[in-house]
Amino acid sequence: MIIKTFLLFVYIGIFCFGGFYASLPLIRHEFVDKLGFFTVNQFADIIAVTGMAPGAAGINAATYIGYNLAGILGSLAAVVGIALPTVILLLPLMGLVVKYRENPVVKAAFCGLAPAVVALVVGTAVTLGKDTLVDIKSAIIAVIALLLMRYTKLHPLYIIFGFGLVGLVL
Amino acid sequence: MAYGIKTMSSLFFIFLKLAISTFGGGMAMVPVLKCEAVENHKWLCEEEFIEMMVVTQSAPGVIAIKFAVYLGYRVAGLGGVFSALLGLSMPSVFIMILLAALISSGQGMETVDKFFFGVRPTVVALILGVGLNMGRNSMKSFFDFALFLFCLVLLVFFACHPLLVILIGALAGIARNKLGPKSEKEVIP
Repeated sequence: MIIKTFLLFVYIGIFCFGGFYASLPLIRHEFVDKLGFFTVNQFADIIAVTGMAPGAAGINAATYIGYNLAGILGSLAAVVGIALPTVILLLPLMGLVVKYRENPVVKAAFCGLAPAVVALVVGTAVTLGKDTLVDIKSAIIAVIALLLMRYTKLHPLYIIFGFGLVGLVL
Repeated sequence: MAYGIKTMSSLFFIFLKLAISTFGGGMAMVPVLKCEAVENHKWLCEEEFIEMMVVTQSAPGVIAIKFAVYLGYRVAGLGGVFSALLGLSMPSVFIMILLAALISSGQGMETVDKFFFGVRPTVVALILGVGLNMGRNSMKSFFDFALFLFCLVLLVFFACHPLLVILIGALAGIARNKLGPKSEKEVIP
């Protein structure tokens, strides 16, 4: 079971393109439809829990599913499994970029990539914001957080937990 | 072996901090990650940070794991990869078990909800702040701005896949370099 858990998460690690949430259909297909390890409702619970907890959603899901399938060792197998393909695939890619960094075509490509990456980051904020900034209170929190980040040297960590505490008293 | 224990332990603690403070997917890690890697430790400059974003978006996998592998390797080789991954995944195990217990007991859900009421808008603001900050540093011409807007529309209104946006950015950069007037060309140092 541990080996099976490991292999399943290696598979998910390879085909998980565009982050954990993009690969949810794949995980659902494997664990719910094909293997029948979880019911649809249990799967929904897993997603809710992993999304709520801090940390990388993918690692949370891996530890949770792995734990359910084969205990502590299962959760370890799942985490190693989901990380392994990334280590194997990302390192050569990094090498390639370093090797061709001075190539004029690559340099030109990076000129266009900078705005694209900025769009990715801002786009994430906009997409998240559509679901999150639902009333005056949340909008005010967002504005204050933005100002704090812009005009103080506060570590983002403190801002995040600070407003978590503010949420408790609101 | 050439890398210091000190670097590896800072990698471990940075990713431990990231794991505890990230709410809402791998991209939510960008504000803390940039603060640590670029501003505090000066491991990467602004351009290198963008390079990291490009490379990590271009490979499959969980975004947080890709950040850990990339930064870990850049800063301290394979030992760095291991330290970063360990720091990133350790809290998950504890927190997931704790949370599962909390949920099954039926208590504390209201508190968790309230906490998140404050955290969620903050995360949105921080990601937006980093995006604007990166934009100020890296976008210098009308072309950059137009390309940014184009990509943003694709992502927000057409739910376009990030990899496709990366591809479009690269092609646009090459096309401009080949076709554009000489004066418009700029070289990334």
